[in-house]
Amino acid sequence: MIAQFPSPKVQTARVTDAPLASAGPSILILRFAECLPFLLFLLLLVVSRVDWSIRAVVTAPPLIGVMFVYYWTIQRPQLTRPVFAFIIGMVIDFTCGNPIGMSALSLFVLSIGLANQRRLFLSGTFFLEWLILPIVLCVVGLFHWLVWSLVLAHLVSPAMILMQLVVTVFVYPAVAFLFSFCSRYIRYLEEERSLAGGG
Amino acid sequence: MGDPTGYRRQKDIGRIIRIIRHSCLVFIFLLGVALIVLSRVQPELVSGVRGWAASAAAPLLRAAELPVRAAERTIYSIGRYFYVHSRNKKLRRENEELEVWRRTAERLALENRRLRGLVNATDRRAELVATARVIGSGGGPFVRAVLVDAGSEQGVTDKMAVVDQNGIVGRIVDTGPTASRLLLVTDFASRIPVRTASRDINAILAGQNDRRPRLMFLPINEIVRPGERLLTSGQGGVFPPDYPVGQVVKVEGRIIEVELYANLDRLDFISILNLPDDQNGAPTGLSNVRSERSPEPVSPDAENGPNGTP
Repeated sequence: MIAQFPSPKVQTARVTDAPLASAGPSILILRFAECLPFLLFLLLLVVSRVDWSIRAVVTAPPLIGVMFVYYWTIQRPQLTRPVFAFIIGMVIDFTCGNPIGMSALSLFVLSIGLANQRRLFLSGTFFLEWLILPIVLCVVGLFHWLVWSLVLAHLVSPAMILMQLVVTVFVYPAVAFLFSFCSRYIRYLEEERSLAGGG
Repeated sequence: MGDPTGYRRQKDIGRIIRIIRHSCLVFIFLLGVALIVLSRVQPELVSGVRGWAASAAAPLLRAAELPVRAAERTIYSIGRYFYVHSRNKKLRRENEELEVWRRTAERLALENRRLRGLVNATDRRAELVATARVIGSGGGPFVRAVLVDAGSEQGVTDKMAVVDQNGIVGRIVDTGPTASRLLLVTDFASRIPVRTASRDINAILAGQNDRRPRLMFLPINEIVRPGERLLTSGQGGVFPPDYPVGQVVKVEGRIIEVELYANLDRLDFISILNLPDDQNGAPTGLSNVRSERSPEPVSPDAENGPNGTP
């Protein structure tokens, strides 16, 4: 169920054969497409904040920010620079009632760490990506647990964070599918544009 | 080896850019650490920004919850359809019982008002500031909070008490222009002064981040038993006195668990109340809300003076 766009080869034939062929998608469309992951992230964040009847979603919402940074740092690190990850974390902290700086710092460090280990993921499959996610989540969860314990001034029960991590692991394939749709669309536009000589 | 000076300059510029980049990363890291410490030491500093974030998210949440609520309503309606006859019979019986209670309540309210007038008692009833809807979840694993669609434009400010038709729900913590964050009674940071309805034992209701808050700081040698009803004591100046809170359901040594009257899992409409500073102010909006629920036959102004004096 991976979204497919027309092969760039078909486009090549069309562009070279027709003398009045268009010059590919404009840079504005490409820039808009590059904003899609962030818009999708905002949509997912809003959906995760809806007061669902399912208690697990309300009390342990999935870590949308971690999923976003994890996927996009592996696939397109130029879209998730560490500073951008920090800003996304701040948005999460302000909207979700977290201690300010907690998600920002964790996503910032995560994006730097993942960018350095990107080759490991690129050579593997999605299954490997999904397999390593719990390890990454455990590190993030440990950090969140420490910060919450610091802010609430006592050692909080890790059960809720564990539940949040489990929810995130199970939700990740669906979210990754949505992100892959965006990724393929951006790649399609880029290839179209490069074949048309626009960039 | 065409231009060693230019090559060296380029190398130097590259090194400087790398140092600046690394310095920026270290600065952002330290900024994150500083923000965490700040949110521990001075949480009120970020309260305003949280309120603004809630207001910004409010329209999106309202739009996002529409399909969710529609689906919930459909499922609920289908579920109820199968029990409609038995439920109707039960409701009729309850209605008859409640009619008896309503007459009793009216009589007691009248008697209470006359007695209060006789002793010139001060009135500590709260004002209704706004009626709002719960539009989203405002918490996470360690925060029990929801977002409501009323903010400073509706007169809402921080620390206002929030109740629903069953009992107290929590208090407002971050106010934005059109939305606010409501900290629920079950949150770990929630502490509410309460008293037992039958024996007037004062205690503190402390949230535990789970469904049942606990009763703490009871006077020495005082014992509460399961079934004891709890009301707000009015101490602390946030919650008006005598509002229903919940019922003691479990007592195990020093651990006393309370089942709240308000169903925090299915909150919809809530009332935001303000306890006037002078405590003598005549009741305004809330009295209207109460009169809709249990109509009072005689208006206070018709029988008493401005402060309740005959």
